[in-house]
Amino acid sequence: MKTMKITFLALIVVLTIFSSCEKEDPVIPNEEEVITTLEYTMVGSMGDTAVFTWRDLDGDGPNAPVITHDTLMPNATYTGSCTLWNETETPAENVTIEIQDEADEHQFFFSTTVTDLVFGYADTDSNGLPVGLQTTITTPATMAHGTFTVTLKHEPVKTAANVSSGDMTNAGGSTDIEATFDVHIH
Amino acid sequence: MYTFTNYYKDVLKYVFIFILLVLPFFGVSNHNCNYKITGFVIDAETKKEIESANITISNVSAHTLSNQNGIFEFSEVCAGHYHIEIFRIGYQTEEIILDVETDTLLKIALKAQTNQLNTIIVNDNLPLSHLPINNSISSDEIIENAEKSFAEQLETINGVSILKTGANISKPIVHGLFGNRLNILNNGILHSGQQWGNDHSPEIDPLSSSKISMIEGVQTLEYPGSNLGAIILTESNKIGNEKRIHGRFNYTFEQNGIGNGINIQLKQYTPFIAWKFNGTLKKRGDKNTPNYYLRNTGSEEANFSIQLEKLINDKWSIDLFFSSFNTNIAILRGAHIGNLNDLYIAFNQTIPFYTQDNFSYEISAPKQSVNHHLLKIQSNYFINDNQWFQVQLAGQINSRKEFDIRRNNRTERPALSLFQYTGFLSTKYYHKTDNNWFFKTGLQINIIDNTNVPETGILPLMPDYQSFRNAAFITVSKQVNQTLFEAGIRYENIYQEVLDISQSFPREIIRYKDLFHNVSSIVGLHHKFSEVLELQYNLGYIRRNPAVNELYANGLHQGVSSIEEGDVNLKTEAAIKNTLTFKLKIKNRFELKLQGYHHYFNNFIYLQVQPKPRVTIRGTFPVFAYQQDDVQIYGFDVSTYLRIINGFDLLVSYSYLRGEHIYQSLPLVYMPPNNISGSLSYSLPKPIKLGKRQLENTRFVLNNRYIFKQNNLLEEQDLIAPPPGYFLMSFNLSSELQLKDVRICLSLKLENALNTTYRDYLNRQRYYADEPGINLISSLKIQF
Repeated sequence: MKTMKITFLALIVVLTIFSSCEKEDPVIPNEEEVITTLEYTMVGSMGDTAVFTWRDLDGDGPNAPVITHDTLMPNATYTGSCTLWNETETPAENVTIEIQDEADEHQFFFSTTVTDLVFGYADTDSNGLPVGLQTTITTPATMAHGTFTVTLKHEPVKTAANVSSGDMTNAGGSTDIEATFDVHIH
Repeated sequence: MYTFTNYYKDVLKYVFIFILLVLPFFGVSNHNCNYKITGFVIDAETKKEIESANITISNVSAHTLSNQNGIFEFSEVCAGHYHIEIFRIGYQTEEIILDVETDTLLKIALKAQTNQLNTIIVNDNLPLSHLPINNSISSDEIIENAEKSFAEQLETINGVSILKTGANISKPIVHGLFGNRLNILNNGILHSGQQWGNDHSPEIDPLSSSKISMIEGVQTLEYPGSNLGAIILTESNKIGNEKRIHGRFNYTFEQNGIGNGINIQLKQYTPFIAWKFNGTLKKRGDKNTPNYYLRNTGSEEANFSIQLEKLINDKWSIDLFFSSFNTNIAILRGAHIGNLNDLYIAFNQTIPFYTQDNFSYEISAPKQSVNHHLLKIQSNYFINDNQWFQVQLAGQINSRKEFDIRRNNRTERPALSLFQYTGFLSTKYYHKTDNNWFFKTGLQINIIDNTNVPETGILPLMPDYQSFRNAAFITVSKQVNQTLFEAGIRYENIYQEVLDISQSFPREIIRYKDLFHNVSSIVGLHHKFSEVLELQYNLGYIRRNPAVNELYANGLHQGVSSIEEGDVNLKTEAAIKNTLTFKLKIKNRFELKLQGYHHYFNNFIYLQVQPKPRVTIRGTFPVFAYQQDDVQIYGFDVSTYLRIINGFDLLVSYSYLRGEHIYQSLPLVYMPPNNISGSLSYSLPKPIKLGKRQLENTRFVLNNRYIFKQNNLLEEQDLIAPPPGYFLMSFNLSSELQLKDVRICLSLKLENALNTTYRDYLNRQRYYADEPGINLISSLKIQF
């Protein structure tokens, strides 16, 4: 019975030691990789500017994103550029630089429900393949209304069939951005 | 592209290499096989003959029982070097190393067992491994499948299935229960890692254990944890009392994945201390399906364990066990995707993205890097032969790092990094009375500290926590003639402190404190009607508090592109389990085991897809939330064994299982589909002469297995429909060769022999890729 008593005492001692220390606060991670915001700026030949913004500050969290839409002129050509931000950091971090640095591992894809709204690549990576940070947009001749979607793929197979002409069917990769905007051609 | 013909060319190539490797061992001196080993087993103290002692020549798999005069005999024994084990319930197992050069007479005095608590006391007279149908896997079977993971080893037990994530990650499912509901005990200590994750394998090297068994019923109450399902227990045999250093060496080669594995086991008894060492090294590269290589599916493993046994005096013994498990596992490159659209694109690929034409050993992201260490110290103190104490003290360290493909060199940084340590203290008291009562009682404390290592730059899925689990149990059994009654009760008190980081901005730390009480109770009845018919019934009421992930997990689960949300308001789940087992045995020629079960769960915790998917800048993700409902899981497992004629054995098993919600017509997900398997084996009655040597115990086995389609699932419960049923065939050829001081066992296995292309419902990577194709496994075991 002596062994039993000793063990029982030991149990109590161990229990007290462990219960008395409170667990330390976890370190809140610095989420530098997050993309919260996509800004798609389109500049027309007359200097007119349209800006489409998709902002989701809580990442995978439950809050809905804030999306701003804009209007484009019919029968026009625009020069588009995508800018990405991580606004969880102060000051906001420009993630576009990371994408530029790893241009060969990234590609933007554009799709739209508007007939004759055409997105063309205006930049290339070190292998001469498109990236899509810079684009040329031509609008249809008539008034229209619809949506377009900007998708950013990480590590797509850029050499797969039709990928360099902007078709992401064979691209694979994981999606870093998939943002849909309303667009008016007016 | 890798083609079908290439496969067979490869297979032939490896067969050829294997034969070349083995050939030099043949043809030296002549061997006589007409020797006899005769033995006489007595009780060391009373000098009385011992009947029904179980004698095995472990390296030949020959086995016999002593008769009523304590006498046993092996005839037609070849000259050679043998390990003989003498086992009898109530006595210490004796191990003898013997060089047979003439007829041999042995006198064996067995010591009455005083420290029998190291072995789980089974109610059979035979060690389970010698029965054709059983719930455990012997050391020989483990080493025969040395290339297999811990969970894959268990697949031969009827009623056990495997939940996989690709070729390298697997965890066991028993009667539909897994993860948080299925406890795994490594040498009697509750394995403590990140069991909540479906893609987290148990970090245990099966080769370090002498026996792996599935335990159900009253015995489970002795062990910590939820005990809601069965318990998977690994055990290490006592080292024995052989004074020479002896052991085994095993080399395994796998053609699919070009895998190599070595295992070495050494043990020795010295009067000061008995020791055993076990070490394993494994490496393999990309596996291939019948049509393509699975890019980035290699793995590597380095494990070792040390076991020490010290008898301080007649009444007091101390044992130590240390094991270290270390692995790097690559995860199929084509399974790394972003949002739901990526997933649907991946479904429609006949060949996964990133598939390459060449084989590679490279392990790159996505990958897992896992280390697990266990130290156990156990002491037994005997007051007398009928009363004893056992104290166990154990510590575990688990480190898990998971790497994803990330931007800007962050791939080098883990996306998930968890560090857990566990402390366990247990005292048990055992008391046997003269009138066949047996009491066990104990107190246990289990402390877990789980921390996210702040190196990921990602909001963790699992919060940091500390949990204290205090438990007390008592079990009683009473044997009356041919009936064994058992009953037990266990109380657990769980206090946990959880430190969660808020999902909203600014991030803040939220502290939760939980207190749970679990009372579980099981009663059992085991009756032998005759030598032919046995019946066993168990009824249990078991409670399990919600696990930390079920309460607090929050975030994206990368592999399946879904967001998982815990619920802090979950209640404790409770189960009422009914299990009925029939065993019919006609001599050694026919055996039938039928087990039926019904598990009713109140407040069963499960993941339910939410009607509103989540829109994020990365696209749309389905949201799965933990919910509770009343469910039932029921089914039966049937196994039959038949010795057709001498040499030919047939074993057929069938498993049926259903899991469903009780008040709504909704099946449970991840329930194993029904399956049937049959194995026909033929053992050669006589050795094959091979020059001057001979091949003994040559055995040929044909295995067939059919897994039915899981039809018991609604379309909206999964992203794609379950795959069709499939049929697999495998062959096994093994033989043994006696050299002067060593015995060599050779084996060739051909798995997925028909090179079938299939996908398995219980493999989470079935969304992306086929299962591996044909695999030729050759192994060489040297026993010395």
